[in-house]
Amino acid sequence: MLRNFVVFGSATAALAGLALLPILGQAPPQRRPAVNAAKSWKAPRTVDGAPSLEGRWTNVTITPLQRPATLATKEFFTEAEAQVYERETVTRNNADVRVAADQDVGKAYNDFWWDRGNQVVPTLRTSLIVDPSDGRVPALSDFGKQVQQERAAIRRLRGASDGPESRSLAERCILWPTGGPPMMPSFYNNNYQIVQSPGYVAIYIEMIHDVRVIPTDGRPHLPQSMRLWMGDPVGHWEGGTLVVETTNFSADNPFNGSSKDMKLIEKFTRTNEDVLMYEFTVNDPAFVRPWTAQIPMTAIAEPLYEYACNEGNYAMEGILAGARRDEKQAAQQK
Amino acid sequence: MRKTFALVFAGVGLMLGTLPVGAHHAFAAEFDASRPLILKGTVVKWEQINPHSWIHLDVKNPDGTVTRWMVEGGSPNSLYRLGFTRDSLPKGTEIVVDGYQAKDGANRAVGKDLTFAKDGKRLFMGGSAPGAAGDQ
Repeated sequence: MLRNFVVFGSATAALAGLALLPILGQAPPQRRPAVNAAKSWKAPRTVDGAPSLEGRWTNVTITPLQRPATLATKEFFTEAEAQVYERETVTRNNADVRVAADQDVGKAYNDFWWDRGNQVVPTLRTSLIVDPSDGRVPALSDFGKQVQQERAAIRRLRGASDGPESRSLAERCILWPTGGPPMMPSFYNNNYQIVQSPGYVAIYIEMIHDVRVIPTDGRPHLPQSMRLWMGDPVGHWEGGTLVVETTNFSADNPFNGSSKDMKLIEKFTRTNEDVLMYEFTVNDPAFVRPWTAQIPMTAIAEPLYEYACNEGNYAMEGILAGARRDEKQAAQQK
Repeated sequence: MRKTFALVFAGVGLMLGTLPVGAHHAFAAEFDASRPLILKGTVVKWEQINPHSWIHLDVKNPDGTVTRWMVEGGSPNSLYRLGFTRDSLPKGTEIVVDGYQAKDGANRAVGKDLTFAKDGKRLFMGGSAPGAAGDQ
């Protein structure tokens, strides 16, 4: 296992530009937040007596959803291994390392704009997926493959850039794929604010400016015929844990191959003043088995900023104009 | 190098493996890898908007005329969190943009490297690399 890890590490370093390593090597190891409750800590409550999850949180991490194949069955890093992995991942992600033009253009702008984080999760897990134990998204079932094929067929009906509707939900400023649910880390603006009132928990998601309003008053789900981009959430409390069941998903906003029949269970547990443990389980006939991931969220002091997306989306015009240029060139070459 | 405007077609030899690509949109759909450019100009305004910032700059051409360019950057939210404001890149600042032009040939570019013209220091220096932010 350790050997696998070292081989993986050195190959990555070789790829990622050794010039940066002297700088990175000098960085002092950063403190990792403790994920367990201190004995003296008393979980806070809201004025109406519910467990309080209120506050601002971030789920930024460089730990991937799925365990890299090279780490095989290794579920946890040692502290030393985590530091090596962190150095190498940050170096590989660095947008300031210039590469061949066809890939360089995809890396976009200066690294300073990016905020992907530079630490693995404080539990030192090698993947966010904790079950199955291989840390990988389970295989698609026959039903799941059929759903994929149907989606691909719909995509083929229209050109890749015929109009805004052909582009991704993210490019259209409709939804960000990590906004969820489930909520996943992205490459910047990984911030969330939770506000509670009697019978409701609201989660404000900075990227790209969505609010999930979760009733905890025992109401049933919406009728099956009603399908929502972010599904229909219904929550309840189990001790100090908020459990949210979300169903009624739209077929057009899949998560790693999920179908509209996904039943998502999310659990939010405040384990100490600075950590909100977030766990989600995907129950969906599109996969051969359910699967679970865990992301410790940590408290932040900074405010969230509005991410108004449509107003400034000049890029859509640029993408469509670029596609028209490509078509013209292709026609001229005929 | 006092040349005010130059299109540079650079051949970069370094070839890396698969790179993580991610942004609000596919940059290769908007910008042209075969049109690298270097722009030296004066900041006219910095639109701190989402999903992407846009820096507008006036670039003086060799014949004395001026062309207005727009350069795409990332989300301003994280820069705000780091203490950057509208005043961090004031109007009139001379900068050099090393990037790629829009596919449709418009005067738009993505800013791969942004530097101050006066001393060559990088604009938005640092990065997420541990320790790298210290060398501002």
